[in-house]
Amino acid sequence: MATIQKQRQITLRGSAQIVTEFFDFSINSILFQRAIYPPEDFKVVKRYGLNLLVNADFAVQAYLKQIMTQIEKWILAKTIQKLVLVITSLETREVLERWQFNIQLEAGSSSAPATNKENAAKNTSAASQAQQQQQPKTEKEIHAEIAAIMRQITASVSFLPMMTEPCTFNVLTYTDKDAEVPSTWIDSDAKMITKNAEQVKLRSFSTSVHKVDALVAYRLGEEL
Amino acid sequence: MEANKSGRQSLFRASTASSSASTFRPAQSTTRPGSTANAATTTTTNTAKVGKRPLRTTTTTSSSSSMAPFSVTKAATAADVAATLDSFRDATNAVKAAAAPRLQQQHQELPLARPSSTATSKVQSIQDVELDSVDLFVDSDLVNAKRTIKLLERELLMQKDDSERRIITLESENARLKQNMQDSLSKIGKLERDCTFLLESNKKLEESQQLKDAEREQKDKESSFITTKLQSENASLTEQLSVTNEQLRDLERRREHEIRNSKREADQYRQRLQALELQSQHEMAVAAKTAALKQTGDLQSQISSLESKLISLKHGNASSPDSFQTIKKQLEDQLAYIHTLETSNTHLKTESQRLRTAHQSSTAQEEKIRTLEIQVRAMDSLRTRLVEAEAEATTLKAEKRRWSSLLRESDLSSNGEVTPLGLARALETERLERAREMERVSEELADVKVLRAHVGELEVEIGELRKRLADEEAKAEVQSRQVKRLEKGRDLVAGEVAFLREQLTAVRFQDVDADTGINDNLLRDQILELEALIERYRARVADLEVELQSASNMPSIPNVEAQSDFTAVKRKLEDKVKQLEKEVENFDNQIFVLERAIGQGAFDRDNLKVLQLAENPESKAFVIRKELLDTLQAENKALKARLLGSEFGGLVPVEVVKSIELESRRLQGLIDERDKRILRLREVFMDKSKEFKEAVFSLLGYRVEFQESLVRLISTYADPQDDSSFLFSSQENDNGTMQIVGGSPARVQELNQLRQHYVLEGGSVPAFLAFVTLKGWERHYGVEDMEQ
Repeated sequence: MATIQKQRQITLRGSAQIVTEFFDFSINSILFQRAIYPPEDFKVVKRYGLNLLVNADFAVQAYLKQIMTQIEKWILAKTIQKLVLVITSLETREVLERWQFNIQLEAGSSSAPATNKENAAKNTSAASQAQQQQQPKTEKEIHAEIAAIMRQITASVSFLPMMTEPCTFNVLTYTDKDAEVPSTWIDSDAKMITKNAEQVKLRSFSTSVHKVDALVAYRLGEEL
Repeated sequence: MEANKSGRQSLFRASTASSSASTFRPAQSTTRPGSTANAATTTTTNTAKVGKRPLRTTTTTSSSSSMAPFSVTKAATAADVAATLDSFRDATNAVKAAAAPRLQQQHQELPLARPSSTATSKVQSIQDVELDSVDLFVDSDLVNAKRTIKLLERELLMQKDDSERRIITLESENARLKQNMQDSLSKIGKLERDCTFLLESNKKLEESQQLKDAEREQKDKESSFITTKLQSENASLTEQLSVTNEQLRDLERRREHEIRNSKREADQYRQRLQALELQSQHEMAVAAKTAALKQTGDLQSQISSLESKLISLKHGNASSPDSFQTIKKQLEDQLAYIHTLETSNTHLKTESQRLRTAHQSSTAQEEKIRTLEIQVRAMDSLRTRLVEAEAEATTLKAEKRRWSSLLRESDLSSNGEVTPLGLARALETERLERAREMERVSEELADVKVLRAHVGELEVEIGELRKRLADEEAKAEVQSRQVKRLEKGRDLVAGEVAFLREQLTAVRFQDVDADTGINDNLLRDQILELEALIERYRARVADLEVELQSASNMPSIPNVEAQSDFTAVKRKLEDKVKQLEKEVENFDNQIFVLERAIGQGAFDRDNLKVLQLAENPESKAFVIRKELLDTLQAENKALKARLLGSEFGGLVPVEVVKSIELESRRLQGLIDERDKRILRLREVFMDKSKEFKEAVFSLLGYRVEFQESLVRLISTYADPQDDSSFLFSSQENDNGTMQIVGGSPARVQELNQLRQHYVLEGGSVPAFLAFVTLKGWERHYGVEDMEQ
């Protein structure tokens, strides 16, 4: 698992690690919550102070690992914009849910994040984002934010429509045109939800280098 | 008692010093951790005591600590000293830590003041003793304590010096103040002297005033005396005048009498003159008459003589040519005599005429005489008046002479002294002056009144102006408030614009990596539009700012106008705010839409690409599914083939199936054709029946409605509200029933009568119907004819 290199100063690499780890756990969590794979395929792992479920299936793990390694590279190259987990109906091939994670580089974070002598005293009451950007977060704080998103993913079952048909999933990445793409990756369509789309914005977290927004879009049932 | 109190005060102050010192403790502890253990505990207790007090500044602390040793000497008891020792130690620690460099600096600055204090040396000795006694109990702290004490002493010395310096400065100031006071006292003395001098001068002035008043009174008295004298003299003079007047009156009377006498004489003379004139006229006239009469008598006698002569002549005519000649001679004489008479007569006439003119001139002369007499009389009165006036003048001159002599005498008698004349003159001049002064005063008073009135007017004006000012101020306040409000509104608008701008940029950012191609262009256009809008709003805001500034720069415009302007501007701004709010709403909506698009996976196709792993679960699943479908389709095909027995020989011959299929297809086509035909026929029938009905209606005058086994006929002329219709039902053998439906009872009865006649008796329905039609027509057009 990824580790954070220093106590207080998060580098681009550390941030990339945190983000990819988050993606891994969140995708696994969604796969479990949306019952894409049977529950017995999942094992419990403790992370972010939560009991998270990770798919133990070898194929799925290999697939996700392949994705994650590539995503980390893209994050480091700053060419990735979005990661989308698409859940598709097997029968109709229609897109039912899109779990979208936007990756944004925080302003000023690319320049040396170590210039923070005056920020020794922690300003807990910093409300504005600008102030937050200037003050690097601790790993604990980042993990708390990630845990909040995980909880939201778990809780989203309550408002998402029931899945009555067998479904499969796919992971799409939105990268820059000039991004380096290995041969294992191919172009895809955006896999948009064509009708009755609804969307719910989830929480976001920031590593003070990257800001990750989470959003779930879903198709409402026909009867509604 | 006081000493004790000060001792306590010193303790308190020391503790305050320690409290301030405790703020510096961390630094000390880092440098020397072992030595300050005791001090730390005590400081904590002391800080506990005075923790609620605010920390003093270092200067106050030093001053208070400088006071402390004095109080210790006053207390002069070992117990007090012991009690204060702990606090001292803390204080010294702290002060040493905090103020050592500063103290040194101060010592360098003030080296002269050091040896001046004997009291501090005393304190030092006492403190040394105390510290020696403490040495027995504590040794590690002792060094620190000593050091601190020394520092304290130094500080004390310093403070002493400082205080002495202050005392010196204060004394100098005191001396200066005293001098000032003396100066002021001397000034006061001078002023008092001035005061007394002024009082004296005032008294003198008062006395002189009194004297003057007395003199004036005397003068008044004298003048009054003189006036009385003069009055009496005046009275005597008036008496004399009256006497002289009476004498004058006597003289006048006498003169009048004389005049009357002379008048009378004049009248007598005039009468006499008139009488004489009359006599003269009479005499003249008489003389003339008598002469004339005499002449006439002579003439008559001559005539008679002549006549007689003539008669005699006649008698003796023939007889005497001599006589005749005589006669002739006589006649000639007579004629000459007549001539002379006539001449004398004319002479007399001229004479009488002359006399008449003379008489007229005499009357004119008389009138002249009368007027001259009147003039003479007037002259007399004038003369008398002249005499009177002369007399008066002489008397008055004498009086004047007397008065002037009298006055000159009095003047001469009092040279230098107050003379009545001088007094009177002075009085006169004074009166004149007073009158002048009074006039001036009255004028001035009038002026003052005018000025007061003016002042009052001005005050009223000022009040009005103030009121106006207050109003103006209030208005200005209102305006400023409005301006503020407007500015606020403007700020709000600007904020909104900025917000919109932010939102737009955000949207743009999001759109950079979102949306499909078509959408993206659209979005870009929209964004450009929105940006243009924002630019416009900014321009508008700038305009508004300019307007605001101009409005604030022109406060001289009338208030009402300004008010209206302000309200107009406000309204405008409100409208703009509303517009902007609407825009914001639109933007929000747009943002919502765009966010939705992004949420559903829209992206910028130009800059982004969507990638997926070639081997992903979805594709795998689909591959699996496709394979399944393919196999199933293959299976289906195989089964069909098997059913039809393509190669393995089936249950039914293939030809049979094929022929049946063909037959069924043919039959299906037939059915379709039939259906089409039936539909067409129905349509044709509908058209025809409609045509037939129309023909019947127009030709026979009845609308035919086919109901179930009934035919309903409605006449063309039937009244749509009132009239009836006929229902026919046909039965076998051309028999049927007829029914009359609707219509008024009278009409129904009429129709029943007709039916009786035509249908039941005549057996002809068409006749009945025709008659009804005819009746209807008659009624219809009969009414129209009647009307025509």
